[in-house]
Formats: sequence, structure tokens, C-alpha cells
Amino acid sequence: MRTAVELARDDGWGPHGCAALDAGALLWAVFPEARRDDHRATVTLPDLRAACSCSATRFPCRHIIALLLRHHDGRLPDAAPPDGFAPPPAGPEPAVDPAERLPALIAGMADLRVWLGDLARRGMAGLPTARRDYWLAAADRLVDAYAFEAARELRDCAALPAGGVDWPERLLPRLGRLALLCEAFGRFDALTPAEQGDALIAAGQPPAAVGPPVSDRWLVLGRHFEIDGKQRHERVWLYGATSGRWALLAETVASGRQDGLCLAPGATVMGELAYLPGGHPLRAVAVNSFRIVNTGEGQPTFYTQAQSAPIHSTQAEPAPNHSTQAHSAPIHSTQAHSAPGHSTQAHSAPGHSTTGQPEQPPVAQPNQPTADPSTGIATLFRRYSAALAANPWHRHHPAALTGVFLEPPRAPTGDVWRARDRAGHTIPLPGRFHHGWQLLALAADRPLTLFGEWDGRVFTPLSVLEADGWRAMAGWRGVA
Amino acid sequence: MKLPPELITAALVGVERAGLPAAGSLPPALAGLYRGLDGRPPEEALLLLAGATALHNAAGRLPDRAADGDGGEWRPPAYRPEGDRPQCSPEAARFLDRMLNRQDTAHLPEFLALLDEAGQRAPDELLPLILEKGAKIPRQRPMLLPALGERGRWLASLNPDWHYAVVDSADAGSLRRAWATDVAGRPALARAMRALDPAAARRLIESTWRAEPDATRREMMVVLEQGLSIDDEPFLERALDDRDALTRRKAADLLATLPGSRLVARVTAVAGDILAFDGGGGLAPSWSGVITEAMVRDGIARPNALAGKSGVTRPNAPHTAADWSRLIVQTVGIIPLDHWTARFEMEPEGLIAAAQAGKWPRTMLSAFAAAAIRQRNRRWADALLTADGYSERTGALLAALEPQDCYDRLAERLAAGDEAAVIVFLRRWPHAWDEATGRRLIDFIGRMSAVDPETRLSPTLRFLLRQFAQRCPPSLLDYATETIGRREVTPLWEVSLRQMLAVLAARWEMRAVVGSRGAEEQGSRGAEEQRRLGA
Repeated sequence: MRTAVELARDDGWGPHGCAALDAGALLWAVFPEARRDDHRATVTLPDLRAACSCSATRFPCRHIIALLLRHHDGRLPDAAPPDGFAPPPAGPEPAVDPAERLPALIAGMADLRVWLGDLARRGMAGLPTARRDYWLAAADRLVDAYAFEAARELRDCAALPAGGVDWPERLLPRLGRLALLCEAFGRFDALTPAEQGDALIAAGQPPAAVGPPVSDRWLVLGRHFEIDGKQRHERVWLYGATSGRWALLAETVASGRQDGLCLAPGATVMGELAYLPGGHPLRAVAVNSFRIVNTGEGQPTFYTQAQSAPIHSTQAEPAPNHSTQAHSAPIHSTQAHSAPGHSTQAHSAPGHSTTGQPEQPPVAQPNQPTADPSTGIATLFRRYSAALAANPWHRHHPAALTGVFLEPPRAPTGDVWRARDRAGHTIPLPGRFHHGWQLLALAADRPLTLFGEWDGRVFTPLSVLEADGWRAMAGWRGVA
Repeated sequence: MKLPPELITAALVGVERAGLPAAGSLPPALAGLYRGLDGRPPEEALLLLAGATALHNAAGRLPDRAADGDGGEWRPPAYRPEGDRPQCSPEAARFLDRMLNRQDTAHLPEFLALLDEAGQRAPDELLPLILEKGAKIPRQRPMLLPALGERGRWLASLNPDWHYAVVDSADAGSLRRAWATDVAGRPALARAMRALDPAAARRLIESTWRAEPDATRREMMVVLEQGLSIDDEPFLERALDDRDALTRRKAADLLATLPGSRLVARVTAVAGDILAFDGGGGLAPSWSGVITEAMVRDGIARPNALAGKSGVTRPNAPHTAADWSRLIVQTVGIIPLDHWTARFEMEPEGLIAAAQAGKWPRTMLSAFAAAAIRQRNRRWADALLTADGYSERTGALLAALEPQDCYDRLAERLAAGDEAAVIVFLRRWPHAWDEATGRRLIDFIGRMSAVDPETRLSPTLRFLLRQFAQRCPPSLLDYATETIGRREVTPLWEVSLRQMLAVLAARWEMRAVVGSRGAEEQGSRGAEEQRRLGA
């Protein structure tokens, strides 16, 4: 972001301009490069599809942001792009029909089941000294079977045995999760469509979206960005301002590619989303192009982050009834059924709710969506339990925690940042959280509202609510 | 909640040896599942049980309660915004952000001073970066601290690494406490203490003197420069035997500026007769002594002069020109100037004229100039500057002049067209120029840049432009742009002039972004007054 701001002020631009399209505008610019091909960036407005020919690993790259900044300042002349400039690709190319890949996927998961069984029979004591190839070979076989997410999980597991004394404590749940996935694929045909969807998403082969698309004003709350080898994994969390539903747009692309939708946290977009089938539907795909909604000062809110209006205005309205039903329905259905594939979690969750903590049964209470995304820590735990009961492979749970105070690590080493809400509940933040001091400096002794992902172990804050709207922490310079 | 230990053991050892853990070791809720897996191979059942138990634990996890841990609920200390300085404007914040990001760092001290002057502090989000910078570079702390404001100090109180920012530099007790814990920041603490109580600061420095690393001891010597008095003499005398050569040299330097010190007395005793009139009325060195260990200790001779030369009559006497030159500058530069006027019963002007007529005129003038600076002798300084006409030898004397005096002398030289002297002024005047002088110097630079072919002084002047841009009042930006920005000059000059104008423009913008907000905020809140009262 900083380099983009500087680039926007810079004078060394090639030809650039803004051309009218049929329903919006095409921003384009050429950035001259020494001894290399020029970089060409294009953005269409107002649906914010962008593309750039540079090889940055991040997306949107500085060229795209600088182009938008300059457009915002009104410094783009009206000019038609020269030949060779095309609007950014209209969207992801149609994925291969998951049904074609299903037999290979099921065979690959059966293979993984044998591999896991072998590991369990011989014992894991030798893993800390095992070669990395031991894991990578199994992961490569999974990739061949189109189980990309499962392969990634296995690669992540490879680093665990060498990392600390309690590695069995951390490794075993993840292998168990994979074993449950193998189990589900072992009887794939007997599962309900929702369960099949969950299993397919967890394996890395998302099914086609089903059901009517949901049209709403979506508030972009957070964006998680991760580069793993040659791949870029991206999660964008949206919150429906009227429906009160969470949606997750997840994407994995080759890290050199510079095109796609640039949804910056804090913006509000208008559009239709279709949810992928699942016990706790979160994953969604955009049905048509999003359009940026002007809120407040009558300017596109891509970078101004002036977004407090949607939350607070809808807070006052009563939550629409239909969404409550829509949201709670899948949970009840999963609870009710007793398909053999889900026998494990169907046993575990309700059983636990009666024995573990009778005052807060995790699944008895359906999610109660309101149009205000913020919750307390206790509610987050309750909703996470409910989601886990509906989808045992549920991993990242979105939550906007309100009224939390940050606590710096108390021990000089080994301790972590914590967030504490008004009720006195605490939640740990990641061990390497570099933005704690900045957040503390912004908040002083007032409480914060943080949006982030809860994975059952740590809460990773992604953006923070300021007086003028949500603000992403991704671009902040960290202070350890 | 942890996984049952039986499950982990079975997984580590392997089910072919350990078998499946008993149903009783798992959570009771999973008993049904355990029975359901009865017919399955144990290696499959083990991982399924592990997955189910982990899910069971995750779904049933309750949030930790703050009061559960030891020490009870943590509460941040209250932050009182009422006494705090206002944040600087967003434009100023952007400037500061760039500078903290290691761009334009040359302007950072000036910018922070401007913020301090305007009674503003850095914006909230930059406070951790500033605190971190100060923690890593203790030397920059005094400059960074005012920009933190009350909020920055509040934040610093939460992080043990940043406690240097909480120290109250006006409270001796607070400084003493910090001395024990903040080893890297001691020079800055000593400086603050020196401003409060010079003797206490010296005692503080002495208390840990032996354990300090070389670099710190050198810095401490620089700290002692401020508020130096004859009380410091015993300590400095001991420092002459320090293990670090630069510390020794700095100690000798400081002692040389104390007229009553033993070092000055020793040098006067050993070399009080080093100058004598030769037959032709010129002043020249003539010295029959030899170089001793004590002289090396006092820094007036180099240790290798002690090695001696075989086959000469006086082994330890100065032989080469370099030896002589060093001896003259170091002894005459230390011995009180009054010693010479009394010994030869002559006025300074006469002695200077005699030195110029003698055998070593340039060395002698440098030595006299060094003495005049050390002893702050205006009479001699005037006489030297007049006699030598602002050369590099006497240029260091300019720093001791009053600003107005310096400006007048420069105007006079400019009018006389003495370009070499103007270059000396540009190089040697360590403070900012006033507006009228800045205007004259810009005219001078404009004239010099147009001279074709270049004179001998042009490259030097181009080099000095960067320094001039830092010291010229930024309000002259427009004047400078008009005067020299539009000239047809050679590419070499164009680069230098453009650089100078860019620096001036940046400094002008700095004032604009700090001033715009400061004026309105200060009128309404009087935050500066409140801060003073609070301190």
C-alpha cells in the first residue's frame, strides 16, 4: 500500500487514462520498466475486476492500487486504451465438472486411508526423524487425485513432528480429521448432498453451487492472504448487511497471476452470491459481478474504508425473519439425520452438549443471525461449536468480536497476545502476532472491535473497526 | 482439553504393538462410536477415534476466563487524554511514516523538532514504530521522545522494551533507577542528568565506568563536554589512562579546554619555551627537549615518536616535519595564549605577524587558532581572522562568532568578491543562515553556477550545496527557484541545483504540514501549556 501511494504520486507513468465502457469505466495504465516489458494494469469500474502484467506475488499489486488511487484523485485523463489492452478477464474460467473427477478423488482418498492406517499400525514415534519425502510423496499422490486441500494439509503436517515437544498433541487431531475425511469418501454415495459438499470442500474439490443466489449488500470484512510455494491462497469474508449471513470467497491461484476481483476490506459491494452445499454453508461463489456501493461521501470506497454506516444502520432494523430460518435450517437437518458417514460427529456433538456443559448446549441453539456481525467471545465459541457439529471439517470461523481489550504477552517469551471481552472471557491470538502494539496504540484503554478467523486454537485478527470503518491490518508494518 | 494420554501412546507406539486404547480412556460421550467401530481394523479405528475426540474437545471448548490465570484480570493503566498533545495532521503523519520507513531520514531530526515546537505528537498508529526505533537506536531517543506525547508514554509503560520512554528526564531519581536497567540508553540518561546536576551525572558515569564498552565510554566523554568544569578534572585525568585510545584522546581534549587543569600546567611546563624568535624577526619552533612517556599520555606526541632513532644524538627528539608539526599544534594549541603575550611582551597581532614571517607560518596559525577556540579568546580570534583572511586554517574560528557578526563579515567578503572566503564561511558556519544572508548566498551560488569555464572552487561549492540547503531558511524556496532554477547551466550544476531545490522544497513542505494543524489546535486547546504545567 505504501509503495502504491508513492507510485500514484510518481511522475514516471507511461500513457494512462480512463475509457468509458458500456456500463462503467475501464482504467488503464502503462508502467515503463527498465530493460523489461512494460507493466500494463487495467481495472474495470464499478465491478473492480483488475489485471496487471507484473509478476508481484501479492494481489492486487501496487500498479492496480496506484491506478485506483489516481482515479480517485481525478488524475486520469479520458483516453481510449491503445491496441492490445483488453478488459480484465470476466471471472474464473469454468471449473471442470467435479463429477468427472469424483472417481479419482474417491480412489485417492482410499489410498490415503491405507497410508494413514499404515502409519497408525507402525506407530508415529519415528516421525521426527522421518524424511520430508515421506510426507511429500503421499501429498503428491493426493494432488494427482485432485485432493488439493487434503494434500496441503498433509504438507502442513510434515512440519509438525520437528516442531516442539507436544507434537503428537498437535499432529493427531489433524490426522484424525483426515481419517474422518477418508471415512466420508469411503461411503460417499450414502451421504446427503450437504455432507458431500462439506467433504468435497475439505478435500479441495469444491462442488458446484446449489440453491437460489442470495442478493444483498455485502460488507467486505476481511481478507486473508497466504502464499504457499507457487500458490496464492486467498480468503475474503463477506457479511450480508440485510441477510446477516456470512460468506467466504476462497480462491487458490498460481501466485504469478495478477487478475481477479479486488475486494478491499471495508468496502461494501452489491451482488449475488450462491452458496456451495454444506452443513454449515459458508463457501460461496459470486454469481455475477459485484458492484461497489457508494456509501457516505459519494466516492468509491475501495481505499477510503469509510464503512461504518451499513453496520449501524441495519443494527436498528429488526433482523429479517427468512434469513434466520434459512441459516438455521441446515443445522437442524444435519442434526436430525443419522447417516453412517457422519456417525462420528453425530455421536460426539450432542453427547458432549449434555455432559460437558449443560448450560450452553453447543448445537441446541441455532445460530441467531442479526445484521450486526459483532459478537462476544462466548457467542463465538457457541457458534463455532454449532458449525463444527454441522460440518466436522469446518476450519476457519469468521467472527467480529466487539468490546475486546488486548492484553500484551505477560511473559517475555512463550506467551501470546490475548483478547478479553467485557464478560471476562479471553481468547488467544497467534503466537506471532505483530500488530498488537499498533492496535493498542489505536485503542488506548478503550475497547476494540476486531474481525478475524477463529480456528479452534487461535483467533487471527484480520481487520479492525475504526471510527470511519473497517480497516485491514494486512498492510501494517509489524512491531514484534 | 487434551487428548487422552492412552490415545497418544497408542499412536506413538503403533496399534500393532499397543493395541487400541480401552473405551474407558475416551470421553464417555464417544462410547457409542467406540462400539460402532468394533468390527474395523484397529489401525483405522485409532485415527477415527483421534479425530472424533479432537472434534469432541473442540466443540465443547469453553472460553478461558481472565480471572482463572494467576495474577487475576489484567487491566491496562488508565490513559488520560486531557493532558496530551494533539496529533499532527494526516499530511504530517504521512511525512513521518515515510521517514520512519527509512526514506528521507536526513530530515527526520528537523521534522521532529518542528513537531515538538508546534506542540504536536505523532499519530497513534505510528507510536509503536517510533518506540521500536528508539529501543533499537538509543542515540535517537532524545529526538524521538517529544513526538510520543502522553499516549506514547502510556503505551511504553506496557512494554518492558520501551521503558526508556517512561523515564522522566526532569527527575533525578527516575534517571538513577533507569541507569541500572537500561544499559544501552545510559549516554542519553547521562545527558539528561548532566542538564540537571553536572556533578551527579559525573558520579553516575563513574559508577559504571569500568564495565562500559568502548563505544559507550567515548559517548560519555562527549556527554561531559556539556557543563564541563574544573570539578570534572580528577575524573578526566584518570581517563587519560583509559584502555581505549579514542577515549584517552577525548579526555585530553576536554582537559585542554580547562585552563586550570593539571594537563595544561604540565604542557606549559614542558613546552613553554617551544617558540623563539629567529634572527630575521620570525617566530619559529625551537625546542631542545625530548619526547617522554608523560607527553604521550597527555596526547601531545604519538607513541611511535618514543621508539627513537638509532645513530642520532637525541633519540627521542622530534625529527621529521610531521613530528614537529604535530608537536607545535598540540602544545601551542593547549598552552594559554596569555603565556606567549607575557613571555614575549607582545600583542597578539604582533605575534601573529611574526609567526607568518617565521619558518612554519601555516602550522603556527593553525596552532594559534586551535588555542583561541579552546580558550574562547575573542581577541586572538579576531586577530587571526583578520591576519589570515578566512582560510581553512582559521575557518574553525567562525563557529565561535556571534551570528550577526558572522553574517556581517560574510556580507563584507561577498561584497569584496572573495570567493574562497565565502566557501570557508559556507563550510565552517555550523548554524542556520538568516534570511538576508541566505538571499545573498543564493545570489552568489547563481553567479558561480553561471561561470564558464568552471573555477577551481566550483566542485567544492557544488559539494557544499547540500549542506547549504539544510541550513538555508526554507522560506527562500521561491526566491531560490526564481534565481537559480531557470538558469542555463552545465549538467553538473543542474543536478546539484535541482537537488538543493528539492531539499528546500521538502523542508518547506514539512513546515507547511506541521504548521497548518498546529495553529488552529493550539489556539483552542493550549495543549502546550498544559504539558508544561504537567511536567
